[in-house]
Amino acid sequence: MINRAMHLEGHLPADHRLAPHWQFAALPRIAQQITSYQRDDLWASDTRRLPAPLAQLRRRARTFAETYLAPLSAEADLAMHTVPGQHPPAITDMLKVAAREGWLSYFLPRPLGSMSWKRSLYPPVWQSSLVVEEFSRVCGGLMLLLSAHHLGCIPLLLSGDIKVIRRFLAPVYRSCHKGDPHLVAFAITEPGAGSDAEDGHGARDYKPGVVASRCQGGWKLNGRKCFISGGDMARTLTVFAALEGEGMESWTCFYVDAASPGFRVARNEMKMGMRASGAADLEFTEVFVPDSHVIGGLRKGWVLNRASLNTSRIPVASMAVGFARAATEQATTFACRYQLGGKALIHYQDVQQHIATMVAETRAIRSMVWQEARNAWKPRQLNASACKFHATNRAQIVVEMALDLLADQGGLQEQKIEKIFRDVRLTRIFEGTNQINQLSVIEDWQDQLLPLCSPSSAPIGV
Amino acid sequence: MAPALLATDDLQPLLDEVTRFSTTEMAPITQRPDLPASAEAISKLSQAAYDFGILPGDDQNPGFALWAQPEDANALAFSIGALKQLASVNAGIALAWHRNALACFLARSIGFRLNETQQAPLALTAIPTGHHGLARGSLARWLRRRVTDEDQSMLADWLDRNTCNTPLTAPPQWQNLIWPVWHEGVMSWQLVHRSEIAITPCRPQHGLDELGTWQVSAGPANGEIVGATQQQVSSMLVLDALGLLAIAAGTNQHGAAMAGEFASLRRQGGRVISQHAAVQTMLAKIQQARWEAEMVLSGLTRPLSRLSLKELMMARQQLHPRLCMAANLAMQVHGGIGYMQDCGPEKLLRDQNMLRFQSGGTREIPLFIHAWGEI
Repeated sequence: MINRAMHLEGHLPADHRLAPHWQFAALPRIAQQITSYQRDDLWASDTRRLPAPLAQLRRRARTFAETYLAPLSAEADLAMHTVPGQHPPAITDMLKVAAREGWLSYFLPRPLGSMSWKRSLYPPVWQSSLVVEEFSRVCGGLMLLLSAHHLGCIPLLLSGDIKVIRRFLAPVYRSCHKGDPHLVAFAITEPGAGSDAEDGHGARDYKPGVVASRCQGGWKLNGRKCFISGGDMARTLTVFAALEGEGMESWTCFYVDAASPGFRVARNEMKMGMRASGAADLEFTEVFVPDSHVIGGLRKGWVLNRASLNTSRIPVASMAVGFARAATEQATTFACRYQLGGKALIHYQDVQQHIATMVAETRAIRSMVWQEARNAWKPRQLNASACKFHATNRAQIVVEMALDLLADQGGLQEQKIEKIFRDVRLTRIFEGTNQINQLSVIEDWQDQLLPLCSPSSAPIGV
Repeated sequence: MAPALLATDDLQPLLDEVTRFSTTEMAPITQRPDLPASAEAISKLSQAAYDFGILPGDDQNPGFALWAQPEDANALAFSIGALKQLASVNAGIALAWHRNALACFLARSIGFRLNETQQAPLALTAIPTGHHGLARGSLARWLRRRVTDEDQSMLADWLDRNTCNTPLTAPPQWQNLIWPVWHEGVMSWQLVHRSEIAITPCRPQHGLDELGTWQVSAGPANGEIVGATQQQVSSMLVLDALGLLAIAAGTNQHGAAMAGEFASLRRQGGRVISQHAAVQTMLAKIQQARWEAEMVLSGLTRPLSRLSLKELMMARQQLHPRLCMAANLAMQVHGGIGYMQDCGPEKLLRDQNMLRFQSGGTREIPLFIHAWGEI
């Protein structure tokens, strides 16, 4: 007599004589070494497969997320729209803990950053991708609050200038280690330039909105930036501006102190999701920036911007993995607990297929992210953009599948998946819309594609 | 045979009146997507809709109100067209009115006598389905009179209003509810007053911000209960699906207009974005979804008795994902601004998702279709 508690409908219990799990135990020892019917938790077995320092990082990130981010998630999402500069004390406290524990400084090894030397053998983009997935899984908004800071710091790192790192990034990290979170924001988007700030073809015809004019000892910035993640809480910003009278090719990265006269956070946008993180509208009115705060050199901003985006797009794809995973976990839990017709939904074959597809989709995009991230010492535009647009598109499909499984309950905030939908939706828009990322793949590839237009050219590899 | 309620020639002028009503009365209180219309404003608007004749009132003289005369093809076309038009301004209010009209239709069909209070605008609403999904294939087999013992037990659970909570999305003013229940081994209708219902308010739901969501349950001793016929249940589900599709189509009209207008103004890459193939492709897909919705709805504009629930379910299965995709594309055309609550596409996307989740959602529809068998 089969007991329902021992197996799901349509499947044999593991100790049944026809169950492979049972038969596996009877295989010769050598055969057991090359086959597997482990029943490990998928997350745990994936974590074990990582190099030990990264496995430890992944476990730590999950613990931090579940301890400090998860309890704040719903409240932060439902909170009233805040005025820039006003944050709930609980979020400020969380930031202090995050800063002390090294979550705001892990792009550099100790003693400057919080990265252990063992981890420094692996690309920071891979490390970031692992952390971001764990944080996204519990709260997109709080994840962005913690992650946008790294994007702000990336131009400082990518400048390749040791003086810049020592003078600007080291104090940021030091402050964080002391539990005083110094956040940095990355400011490229302008009211007239969303995609034009992320695509060379578009930038060619764009009239820059934030302009730097020469003055005694430095530059004065004027103009507006919009949708700047973390711009409302940042103490300093990496701001991209054109030089007066020149086009986007003159873009230069300026390291701006938010306390500078003339700098103002005009407002925070009212976002659909990721609401714990502000998307700020920034105004620059004669903001003085000394020459010493030019990052990477004059007219080097465009390449610094594009390289920064190449670095951040794989972690954005990992955000999507975190959302897909969260939706899959929530939907699976719902299916195991919600009763219909006297049994849990998970006993129905079509529900099992639905969940299996969600698991496969989630793991497929994670595989893509890890494949790209583990080789991302020098993230290539083509790889980063392809990873970003594909993972975020597929992740939204997974979240929609979760909502469909919940059916009438799908719209309930209490079930948590509708929030995941609102959060994942942003990943298809920011860091370049997915359409721009598709074009970025081709832009980066064109030197291989153009010869292919000739019939006599060698074949191309994909 | 009763004469047609609406002459074909009168249909478009009447719909034009609805357009005028929605533009002059509804749009002013719903123009800010980030600021849902207040309950008070919706009450006033609903009273105006009642006076205007869109919302049903006196059940002895139903007129051309929503779902008042579903056996009249032109009257049905009016209901579909009116809901589309209303939803192109605000999907939440359109859904509230649709469910109110559906409940009034049910009360008339079943023989529940509504008092004056129950007939007030928005006082009555309906939940068309059970606590989750579509009872897999069991509902379809019950409707086709091929019900098995297993189906009976599934339906008993699906419509167990006593121990299972069912989500209700409605305006806060609702006072009475009609829903199918499983009572003494048979499917029945229950008309129950809010005071007799155990209600748990939910947090703000995903979309349809003008409405609230409650988890509701009620025992069999409450309210009035009468036996349900297959035809009554089928008619309710057909009209509900038609209403949901009309509202979803109207919401998409709004999104299509916003995306088209934005794309013709916004400049990127040295030209307006509607000149980029990437954007043209998205706009075309939005238009295609709109065309598909129009084609399907036009094919379903027949007297109620000539409509098959299976067709309606197939239409929901086909159109809701397409219209959600279109709403996503409308947001994508806008880029970052489209993600913001004060722009518009963000709300349309959430509303479109909510319509997909209504009345059992779409995931179990293939099981329903299979169980139904041939038309």
